[in-house]
This record gives sequence, structure tokens and C-alpha cells, in this order.
Amino acid sequence: MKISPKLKQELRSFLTERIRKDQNRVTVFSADDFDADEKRDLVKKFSNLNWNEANYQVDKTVIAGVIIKVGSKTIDLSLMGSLSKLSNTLYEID
Amino acid sequence: MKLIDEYIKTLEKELKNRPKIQTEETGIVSQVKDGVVILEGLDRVAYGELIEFKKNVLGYVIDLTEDEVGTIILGDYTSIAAGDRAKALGYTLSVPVSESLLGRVVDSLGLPLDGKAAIKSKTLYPVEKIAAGVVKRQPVNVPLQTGIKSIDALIPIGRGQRELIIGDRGTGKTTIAIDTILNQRGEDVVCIYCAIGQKNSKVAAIVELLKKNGADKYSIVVNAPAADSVAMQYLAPYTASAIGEYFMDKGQDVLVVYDDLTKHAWAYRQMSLILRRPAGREAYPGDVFYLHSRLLERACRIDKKYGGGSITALPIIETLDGDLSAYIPTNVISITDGQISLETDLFNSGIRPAINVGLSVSRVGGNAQTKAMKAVAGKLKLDLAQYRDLAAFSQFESELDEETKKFLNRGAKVTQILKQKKNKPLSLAEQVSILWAASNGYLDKLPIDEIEKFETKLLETLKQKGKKWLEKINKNKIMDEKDGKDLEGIIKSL
Repeated sequence: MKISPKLKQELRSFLTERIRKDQNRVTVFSADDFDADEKRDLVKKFSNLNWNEANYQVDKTVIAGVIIKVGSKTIDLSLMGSLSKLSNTLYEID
Repeated sequence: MKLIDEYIKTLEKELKNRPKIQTEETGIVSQVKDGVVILEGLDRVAYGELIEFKKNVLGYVIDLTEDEVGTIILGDYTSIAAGDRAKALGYTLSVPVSESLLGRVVDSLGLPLDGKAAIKSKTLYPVEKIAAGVVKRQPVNVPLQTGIKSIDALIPIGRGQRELIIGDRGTGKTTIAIDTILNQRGEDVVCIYCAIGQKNSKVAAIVELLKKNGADKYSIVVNAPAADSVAMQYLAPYTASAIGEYFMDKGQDVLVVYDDLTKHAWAYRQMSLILRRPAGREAYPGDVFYLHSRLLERACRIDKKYGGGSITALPIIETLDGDLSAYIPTNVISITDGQISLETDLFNSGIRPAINVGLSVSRVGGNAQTKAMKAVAGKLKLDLAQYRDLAAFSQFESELDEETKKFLNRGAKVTQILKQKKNKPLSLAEQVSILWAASNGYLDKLPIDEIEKFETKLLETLKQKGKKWLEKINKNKIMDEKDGKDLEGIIKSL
């Protein structure tokens, strides 16, 4: 079966567009659900991120604070992250 | 109570400084293979960057495809599971370097393997580095004495040269390299022995030998034994080179032995096949040439304007059944500035070091040879070349004319005199004295089995009576007519 090059091109651009959108999508992990005020504060704080279609997830292992993920970029502002950093520092001193 | 107040104050202060917002590049482990881990995510990671897994296990990015990142694991990869988080550290692999490395045994990451204290250092050198350019270089013109008669006379090596040692297993390749290290005592040359995929027992024996001969004070052993992961074996020669560059940048001369690059190519082949790179000849990947060329290109002699210093490389290649035209041997032969070819037949017939003088060359070392050695080596080379041409006729000795018989006799004696016991390097003056005696016909009348006796006697007499002569030649590196007459006197008195 022969696929017309035009179709291939369109499919490719459609997929890259989807991937690009997905890559800029913000996911927030927190220990509990946010209320509207908290969400607004968060958006205000990180105004440089694209908050349309933001995805909020609850993850109890975060303990407190938030982990914000944009594509493969991660901003770790959680208690869990600080604790694991601390444990690393402690082990390295040993 | 005062203490608590202080604590509260510090806490308040810390809270006022808003937490630093750091973005990290993270990924998820998708596949774990033999020493290689494939990750998803890590969209903005660079080639050669370090990746941190949990428990301080590090990975080294070696493969970047459209949606995956391939890393080799430095250390224990069994603790990494699929689904683990990993983060990019944003810097490339470097090793700690300092003077305290001398006399130590380290692994590919510069961590001690000899059970002694950690290596103290303030400087880190990148493992992968582009070699010095044309402007910074200077031609090779200072000799590196190996202490082996046949090499120093016929295949001289200069500082900054890359001379390949090639031969089958058990032909004395490592012995030549180690003898060269032993001979650098008092020469202000830092020696690095890099063992790749070797047996730990062999490396232990070498470390012991270096210690016994007092060579450990100026040498470093980088060891990635056969039991180590291929990632560590792959990195070992680059680490050795990085350590060498530290001493070179300080203006010192460095000798690095890579033992051996065949196993290094095997390690890289295994890694590449696991990473599913397209396989070429003998299943080696396409960049196996670059693998060795970028390593050996780092051997160089830096111009005095840029601090001087040099790295001499002695890579070792093991052939199968003397096949020099196999893939890796031809590659490395073409990269290096000459080769020392060792043969099983010669080794078994008692010619040790088993150097095949016909196949061995040194493309740049001739300029570096000392005048004293040049004076005797020229004639020696001619004698040997004539002997090789005529050797086939030696069976019909009775039918040959006097002239031919003379050549055959001389050649046999010269071949005999080039034999040398292992781990017994000779100084320049000692070598010159013996070779002078051979090329001036003082051995022609001796039977072959008495030549070794003559050599020991000559060296002993020189040590007792001719101490001044030895010192003079070693210092000036020139042999004039008067020196020749003095030596003649000593030889005649034997």
C-alpha cells in the first residue's frame, strides 16, 4: 500500500503538535487536593508556566508541599524531596 | 531558653529567604540490561552527562535517541529497577587527580582499590577530552629509554609517541611495557599502567613487581578487571589518559600503558550491541575506529610555550594466531606511530624479547634517538638486514664464500646479543657498550653460547673499572672517538 507523502507529512505535524502540547503540560503532585485559593496562589507564583489544562494529582508520598512537572523538567518543593536530599547529605558525610 | 531563641531566630531567617526553586531534569527507568539502562523522559540531557539513580548510583549518557536515553551504569546496576526515578546532574564524568595518586591502584572512577585512604584532591579532570591541537604540539625529539636493547637500538621510542605492542598471547607484551616502566626510575617520568579486562591475579602480580623494584613511587595503576562491568572497562583508558593529562599539564613527562585495547574493543562491542547500535565487521559498531583514535590522539608532546610535558602511549593489542590483518589490529596499527611486533615462534626458540625486527617500526622515534645510540645502531641495523636476506642460505654454509659467512656469523651474534632477560632493563651506556662490541666485531670469534657470559662479564667490569665511562655516556648521551678507544681498552682487557 502506498501512502501519499502529503498524508504522511500531515500526520507527522499533527503528532509533533500533540507531543509539543504534552511536553508543556503542567502536572502538580500534592499530598491533598487543592482548593481554589491555593490553586490561584500556585498559578501566581509560577506565572511563567502554561497553566491551561493543568493536571492536579494526589500522591500521599509527597507528605507536604508540591512537585511540579513540566515534561521531563521537575520542580521539587515537597517535604519528601527535602528529606531525601537530607538523607543523601547525611550518608555522604559518613 | 537562650538556645531555643537562637534556633527560632535562625528558622525565621531561613523562612524569610524563600526556598530556592530548582528545576531538575528527571526520567523514569524503562529497561535494565547488562550494565546498560534505558530511560524515558530526560528531554534536555546532553551526551556524556551524568545521571543519578537512587542510592548514589551514577550513570553516564552514551546514547540519545528520539525518545529514549541510554546510559551505562558506573558501579552496581543490580539495585536499579524499572520504574525508578533518575535525575540529570548537569555535568560530565570527571576523576579526582592529584600527586597523591602516585603509588596507588584506582578504578575507572578514580576510587582507590588498594584498601588505602581516599584520594585527596581539589582538581577534577574530565574523562573525555578533545586532544591538544596542532598549535600546542611540538615534534617528538626526546627519547624515552625502554631499557630494552633491541627496542632502544632498532625501534626507538620518543616522548609523546604512540607505539603499539602487538603479538599473540604469551609473547611477552606486558613484560616489555612493565620493563619500560621499571626503567623510568630516576627519569622523572610518571608511569600509568591501565589494565582493561585483565585477570586480577595478573594485576596483583604487576603491582607487587612494581613495588619490589621501587617503581611504585612514580607509577599509578588504573584497574578495570574482567569482573568489572563493561562500562568500567570502557572508561578505564580514558580515565588513565585524564590522570596523565593532569601530570602533563604540570609540565611532566608521562608514560601510559593500555593493556590491552583488544579487550577494550570487546567491552565497547558488548555495550554497543546491548544498545542495539548497528553492527559492522566482526560485530563491532561503526565508531570503533574513533574509539581508539580519540584515545591515542591524546598522547602528545606539548610545546614549551604551553608548559611542555608529554604523554607517551604504549597501547597493547593481542592478536589471534599472529593475524595482524584482523579488524582491531589494523585499526590500531594505522593510528599509532609504529609497532613492536612479537612472535610466538621467536619466543619459543629462545629469542626474548621475541621482537620481529622486520615487522616492527617506529615512525617518529628515529629523531629522538640519542647520538650515542645512533652511532652504534646504524651499523647494527645494516648487519641484521643483511643477515635476514642471507639467513635462508645458512643451511648450505659449506658452499658459501667467506664474505657471506662473515655476514651470517655477525648476524647470528647480533641476534644473540639482542636477547635480554625480563625485568632487567639496562641503562643507555650499558646498552651502547654491548652493541658497540657486537657491531665492531669483538664477538665474531666467540661461540654463540658464550655470548651471554661475555655480556655479564663486560657489564661487571664496566661497573667496577669503567664507572666514569658509564656516567659520562649516560650524562652526555654522545659517544666520540675517545670514548670508543676507552671502551676498546676495557673490552680487550677481558
